[in-house]
Amino acid sequence: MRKKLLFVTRGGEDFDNGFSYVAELARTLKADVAMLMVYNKRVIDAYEDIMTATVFAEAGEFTTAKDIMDEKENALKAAAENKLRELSVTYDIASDIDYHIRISNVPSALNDFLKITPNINMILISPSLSKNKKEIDLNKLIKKISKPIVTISQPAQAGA
Amino acid sequence: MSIRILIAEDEEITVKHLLYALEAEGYSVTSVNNGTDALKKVGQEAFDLLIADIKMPGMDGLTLLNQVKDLYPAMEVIIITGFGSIKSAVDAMRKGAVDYITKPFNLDEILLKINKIRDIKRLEKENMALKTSLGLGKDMPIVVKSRMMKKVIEIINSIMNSDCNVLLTGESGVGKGMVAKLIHYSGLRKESPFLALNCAIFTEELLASELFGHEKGAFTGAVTKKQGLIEIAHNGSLFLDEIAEMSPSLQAKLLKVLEDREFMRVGGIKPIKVDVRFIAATNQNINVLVSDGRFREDLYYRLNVMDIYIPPIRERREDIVPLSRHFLEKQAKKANKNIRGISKESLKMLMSYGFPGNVRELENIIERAVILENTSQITPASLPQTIKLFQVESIDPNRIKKLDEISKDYAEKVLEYVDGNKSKAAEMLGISRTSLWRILSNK
Ligand SMILES: Nc1ncnc2c1ncn2[C@@H]1O[C@H](COP(=O)(O)OP(=O)(O)OP(=O)(O)O)[C@@H](O)[C@H]1O
Repeated sequence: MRKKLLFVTRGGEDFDNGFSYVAELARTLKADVAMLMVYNKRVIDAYEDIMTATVFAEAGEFTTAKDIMDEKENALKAAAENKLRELSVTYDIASDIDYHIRISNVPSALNDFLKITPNINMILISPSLSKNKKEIDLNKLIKKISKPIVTISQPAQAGA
Repeated sequence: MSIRILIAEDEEITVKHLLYALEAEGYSVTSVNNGTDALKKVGQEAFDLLIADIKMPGMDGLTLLNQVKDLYPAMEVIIITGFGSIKSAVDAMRKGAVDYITKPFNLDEILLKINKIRDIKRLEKENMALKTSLGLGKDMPIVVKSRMMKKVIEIINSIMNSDCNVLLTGESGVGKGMVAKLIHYSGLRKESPFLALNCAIFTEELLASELFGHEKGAFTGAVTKKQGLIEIAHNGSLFLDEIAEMSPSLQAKLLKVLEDREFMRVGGIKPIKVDVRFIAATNQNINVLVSDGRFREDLYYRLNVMDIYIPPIRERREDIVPLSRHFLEKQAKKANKNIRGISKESLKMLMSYGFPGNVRELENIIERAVILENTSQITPASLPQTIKLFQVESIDPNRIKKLDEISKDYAEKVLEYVDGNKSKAAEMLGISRTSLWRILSNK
């Protein structure tokens, strides 16, 4: 089995920022890429159906509430999948990207993901997440995570 | 490398002769005086060669040969026959004996035969080692320029004559595999095999069978008996890379090997004695895993008799240029290209990059650059453009832990100095009492 790099990014418009770096690194290290896309709860909250889901949940109709959540996740997944397919072609990644979607905050999503996924060699944090100190406190993160963590940034943008 | 020999012979004088000659040659020899005991012994210890007399009370040599070959096909057997009984000698060879000797015997001739078997065994072990090793040449030159790498080499030299287990820590690609080889080949066991296994690349079942081997029929697919790496590495060293990925149940089994110096093959019932030096490596912060209960503390202490930390390349930038030149030379030769140098611009690009994949990344970058380059030196165009576009910063979890430990040690010293007065200690350190408490309670 080859080494695996985990690219952690926030789901949304610029989720692929930094991906070109990860793809190149994977090629250099002859490693595979896994991607963890974390959707902010707020993004979900913006969805109207969350309200509906909450109403159902409060009424005790958990299945219905869960169905709605699932549906939304599926919609997100489908959208993400499309983008990823484009990415695989753009960056000429030989194998399919193994991607995962979570609706949570980044540290707990990452923690949970690592618990069930062994063999991740290195964790790469996307530029938009890296610069967001509120979302990711590296000093805290490394107390819980035993694997090497790499933050990616784009100096050109930072300087602007 | 020596091999382990078992003699099964009921004639005391013959045993004496053989023992004398073989031990003088440096072999480790055990003897029993009948076939049944011989069979028992080979189940308990790992032998490479059995020398059995064809005529013995109880189980005779041919039956013993049959059973041994059935159970342990890799073990070689030499049969001793009486003078002139060439027919039984041929019989023995047909049943799988490598050779035969006739009584009364000529010791020189026997030694010649056994030395030949030793050489074959060594080749077999080395081939096996080669297959599982990291593909590093035994005499591959190592670039050591930075003070930090010199320190690592000093430590390796200082443990040359010790046989302790070693735990190597450091990020991916810093050279842990290379250092493991160096430790083995500069140590007491250099004549014996060095084997390597990456614990992350197998499922638990496969890893167990790679490590411990298995008996015939131990599980579906186990059609023949197989020796595990622990058994093959007998007298040598076993390098366990990415040890932190090992499952709890395998950790328990490995601990037993370290404690009792014996193990059982998967599906086996008899413990087998072994003498192996373990060199383990991880790129993870094993302290976090230990405190989380994901890595056994007792196993950690057994492996971590000597702890060597190999710093990432970004912390020893002086190594980047000599390493790049070293890899350029190697790759240019391999690709048969006349590229003699690396342009200033390219070196600047490399020097300012973070290398999360460390030396391996640098090596692969140069390898690709050599393929792409059309001029006589490596130009920036043949380096990956992403290393210029993005900036990366890596956090080595092992390193952070070390810093934590340092602050804790320091805080404890200060506390001692002020006779345990926490307010005073905090004041001296210029931190709040809460911060002091946090530093001190850091595990
Ligand atoms: N100081 C050095 N001089 C020459 N080559 C080196 C040096 N350090 C590392 N290398 C080379 O870099 C590559 C990576 O080293 P190695 O495989 O030992 O790293 P590692 O730390 O074991 O990696 P991983 O954790 O991914 O298993 C190897 O090809 C090795 O030969």
